[in-house]
Amino acid sequence: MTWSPLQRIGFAALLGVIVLAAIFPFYYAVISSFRQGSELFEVSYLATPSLANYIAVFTEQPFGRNILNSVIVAFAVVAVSLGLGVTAAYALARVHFRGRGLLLVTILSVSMFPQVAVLSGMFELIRSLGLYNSLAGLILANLLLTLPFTVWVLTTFMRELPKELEDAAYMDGATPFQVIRHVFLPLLGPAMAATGLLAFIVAWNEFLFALTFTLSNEMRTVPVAIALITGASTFELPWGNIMAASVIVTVPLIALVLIFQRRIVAGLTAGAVKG
Amino acid sequence: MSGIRLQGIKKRFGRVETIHGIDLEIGEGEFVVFVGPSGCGKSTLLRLIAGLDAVTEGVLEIGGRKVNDTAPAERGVAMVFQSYALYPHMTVYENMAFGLKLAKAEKARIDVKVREAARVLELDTLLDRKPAQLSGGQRQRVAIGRAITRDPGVFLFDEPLSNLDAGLRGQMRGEIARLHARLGATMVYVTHDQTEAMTLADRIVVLRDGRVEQVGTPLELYHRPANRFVAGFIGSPPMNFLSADALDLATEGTVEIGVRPEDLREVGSGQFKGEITLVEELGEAHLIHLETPAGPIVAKLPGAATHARGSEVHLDAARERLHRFDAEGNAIFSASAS
Repeated sequence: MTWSPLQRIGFAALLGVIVLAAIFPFYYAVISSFRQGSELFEVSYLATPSLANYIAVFTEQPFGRNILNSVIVAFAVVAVSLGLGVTAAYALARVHFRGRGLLLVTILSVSMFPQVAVLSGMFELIRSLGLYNSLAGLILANLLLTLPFTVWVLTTFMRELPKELEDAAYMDGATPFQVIRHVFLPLLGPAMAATGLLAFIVAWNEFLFALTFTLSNEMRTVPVAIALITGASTFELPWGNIMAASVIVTVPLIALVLIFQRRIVAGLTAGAVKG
Repeated sequence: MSGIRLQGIKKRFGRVETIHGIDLEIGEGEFVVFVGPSGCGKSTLLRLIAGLDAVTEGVLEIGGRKVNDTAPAERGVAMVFQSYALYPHMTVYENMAFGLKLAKAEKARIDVKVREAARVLELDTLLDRKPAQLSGGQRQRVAIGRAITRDPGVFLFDEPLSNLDAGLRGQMRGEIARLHARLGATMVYVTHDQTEAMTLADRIVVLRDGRVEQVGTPLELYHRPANRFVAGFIGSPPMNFLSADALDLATEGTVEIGVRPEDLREVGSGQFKGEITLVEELGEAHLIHLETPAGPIVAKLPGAATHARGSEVHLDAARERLHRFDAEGNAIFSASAS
């Protein structure tokens, strides 16, 4: 298809608007994070670099510890979600048993409850397990958000894999776990990368559970820590610090997306089963 | 090496019974082909022998050992699938080595086995390729190679050639026949293609609706089909069935007369006469379709057609080439023919 110059300009303008709308808030956060004091409240679109806010974020509260917490929680949630998700998906996609459809619908309906609805019940559960104010409690709570869609997406992908492939592996002497490990996992790579990434983002940004189930500053994850950053007086919101903290925690997400985006695309094109 | 014995094998899926009690003995080193229309249970039967589905009732023996509850890999069988089912993320070498690796064989032994299979199947130069980079025929050979490396006593083939184009199919058919001669293993082969059945089989098992219709050598089935179904299934173009009453060939109990298109000859005056409705040239022979009082007839005559559409011809066949069927469709064998 060939485009006239007018169409090209129109297309470029449309792209520009979309990119601007998507990027501008983040851009403003970045330049704000470099500004100081009353400078913050002037409308300006250029940065005057100063790292004072970044240093303040780490010195005024245990922000390094908060980042570590977030990393631990997010990676653990991804690992457990994918581990449970793949094995559950194998059963739901490959093993015929009574009530399979009902179970799938139940799993999906779990994710439809608003977080607030399960908050008190989850609180009781976590307290009775002795996980209050611990990272393990947060990991458990976050699984409630990530497992349903992980299981669903992986089940759908697993259903697409040809049955004869599984049969061939059984003929070769594989156990069900070996079939998953040696045959399904490599083929599910793109799906795992995609769902794992989504689970990571959910766990990384999760706020309500992290706020409710932690007590001390040392156990907080990044979103809660940012929300609770306080200024010198109760009447001051330290925007500079908040913006600096936000930029710091967004960077790993963007890096992860860029890394896995390539793998997802590569996997999708190379994964032709029948060829 | 091992034979297979099926005794009263039944298979039910839920409440639906698809295999209704099959007794069959397959000798060591024999090449047996299961044929039948789709849905006749031939693939199910193969999966029962493979161990991919469990036998509901009856006894299944491989190599004199009851294997009803034995895992597929421990039955000493290997299977080649219709879609090849190669592991897409593994190279040809890894595909063929997978079974041995799972069995925890030594690296050196795996290497010897894989390279030997690759040499037999002329895959030597393709060992580092992924299945997606291979042609259909090459993939099929890898699938066979994967079966060979495990040294099974029994090979199971589930319509292995049906995804190939006609030319390649003939070539692979020859390769499978040579492979059987070379390995001497028992082979069970499922197909709906009767040419494959006729050319490959030591014995053919004709199945219909989960029952065995007839077991015999290809020529037995061709010359002495036990019933109307087998008679119509083996042979191409299929046998003509004519109402016995309209012909003066009727003997007691005979309801239908069967005659193969290639057994008919043109004569000055004969049993079957009618008007030609269609002429099909095949090159070395030609087919004429006739409308006769006893029913439509297709005849395969040598050479190019000598008659045009609309002309009337007389056909006849040797007496011993006629097949007689009773009201139930069972063949009636006269004393002289047997």
